Amino acid sequence: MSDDLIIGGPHSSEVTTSALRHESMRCRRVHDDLGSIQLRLRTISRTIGPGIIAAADAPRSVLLAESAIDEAARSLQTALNISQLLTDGLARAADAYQWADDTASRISQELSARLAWTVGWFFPVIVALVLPGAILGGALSVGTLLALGEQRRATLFTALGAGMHRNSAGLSDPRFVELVRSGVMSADDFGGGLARMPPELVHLLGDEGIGVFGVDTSAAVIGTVAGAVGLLRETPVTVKRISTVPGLLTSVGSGIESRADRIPREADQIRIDRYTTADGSDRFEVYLAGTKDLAVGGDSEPWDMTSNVSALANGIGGDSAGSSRAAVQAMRDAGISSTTPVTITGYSQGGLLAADLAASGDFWVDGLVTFGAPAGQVAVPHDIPYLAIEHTNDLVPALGGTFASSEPVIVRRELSPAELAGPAVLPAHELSTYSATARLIDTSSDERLSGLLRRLEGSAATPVSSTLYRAIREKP
Amino acid sequence: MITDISTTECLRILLEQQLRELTILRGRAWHVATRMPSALPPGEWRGPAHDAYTVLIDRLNHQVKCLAHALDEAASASSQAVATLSMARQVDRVG
Repeated sequence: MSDDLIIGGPHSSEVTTSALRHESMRCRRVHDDLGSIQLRLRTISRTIGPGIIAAADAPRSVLLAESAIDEAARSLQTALNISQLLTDGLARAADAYQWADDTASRISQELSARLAWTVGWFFPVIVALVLPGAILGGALSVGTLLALGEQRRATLFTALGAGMHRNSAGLSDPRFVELVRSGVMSADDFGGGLARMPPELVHLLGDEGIGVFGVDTSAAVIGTVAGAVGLLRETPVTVKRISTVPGLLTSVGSGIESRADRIPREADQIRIDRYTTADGSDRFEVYLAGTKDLAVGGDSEPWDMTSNVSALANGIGGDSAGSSRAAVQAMRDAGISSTTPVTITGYSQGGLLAADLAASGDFWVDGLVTFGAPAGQVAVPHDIPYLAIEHTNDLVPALGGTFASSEPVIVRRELSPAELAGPAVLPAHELSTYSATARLIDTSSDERLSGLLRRLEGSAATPVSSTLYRAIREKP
Repeated sequence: MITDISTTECLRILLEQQLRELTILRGRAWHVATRMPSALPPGEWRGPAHDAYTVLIDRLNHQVKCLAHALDEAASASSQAVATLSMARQVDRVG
């Protein structure tokens, strides 16, 4: 399973559908090849007629050849009939699976939304029922902790942390990941129920309807509430050019793996490669790093949780995400304007920023590649070649919900238990595992993928320079 | 026994042309035989459709191999016919 890529669009994620379409395409190719053989064989069978055979008093081998050609024509016709039957049958089966997938997904989303609305509606009652017990339990816990003494408390916290880490495998369970995605998509319905809005209205305004409420509004609520207690507050950012080298900094090769390799891994967050095309004009490749710091306030790192929530919410308190502003500053500094073609590759938060930049229309984004990005709800224009790579065990992309308003080619892979072993709490989100998936993508023979990769590579261009940028938050 | 030299020569030329075409087609047929769809359907596909797929792929494989073998035979017989007619022409020239 670990090397199987599940390739599809926003509405197809099941391996069966993808595999059936792939097999149907293979049968179509066989059918086309057989068809071209049939055309030439018909010409051959007309080359030597019975007249000349009789007139020339041909040797017996001529008759044997004619008989073998007739036999070949019969086998060919049967093979053509079978390959046509297989091509059509597999395509119809794939359509049926697709329909079943879509319907199941829609019903699941609707049920989940209804459930969330109901929980929201009864939430005050639930809180009233649970609160006394929770207060009592909390008081007992705090009392016990205070009675333990500092050293034993520290030992207990260490043991709890280690225990949580040991049991973090559940976080990488694809079923849990899908549950989270469903929960994220239903958060607006929960809010609607809590606000006593009619379910039909919530449905109309939510993800399943016209999309007024969705992941962004849920994130905005979190941002606003956290902001009230001094957390998740946006600050100004400054961007510094750290280094510029002629040619390419690292990883000269092409392909998706090389894109993953070029994403900054150290303290720098942005890499911009400049190329010159055959006609002498510039084109750029921008690489955006993932979250560097999980801080929710008071830090100097723009690639933090504040930016994560802010980017998901399309800005908090009127300010866009600090990391997004930093990326725009760096791109302007590199000479990228709305008329310069640029391909953006991003990992995790960097992928979310990349999708936001593509959706903004402020730049001429001619390609977008995201690794493990929570960018499902970003409305990336459909004409931009867009490759979204996700691991089915990775929780982070699920936090962005489903791809409701964009049409990327989505490549999903379930990591093997061996790949999930390691010290990381979310191993399926590690960039190194995405590099391994990228390697598989580069060797894939899937036509949708190879077509997209050709569009992403674009026309030949000569590398001019690689520049690394580092951004920091300033005190507000 | 070869009777008419011009007709026989014409047949020999046509047979040579046929042989060239058959050699190309034979190569293409064997190429198709190596690029056949998977013998087994996708792992999660079950039921009668799964069985029908397996049977059809098996038949397709068989027919493509029959095609390739028939083209092999046709090419071999054509080659033999060309050789026979060429030898007859040489005998006639010597005679």
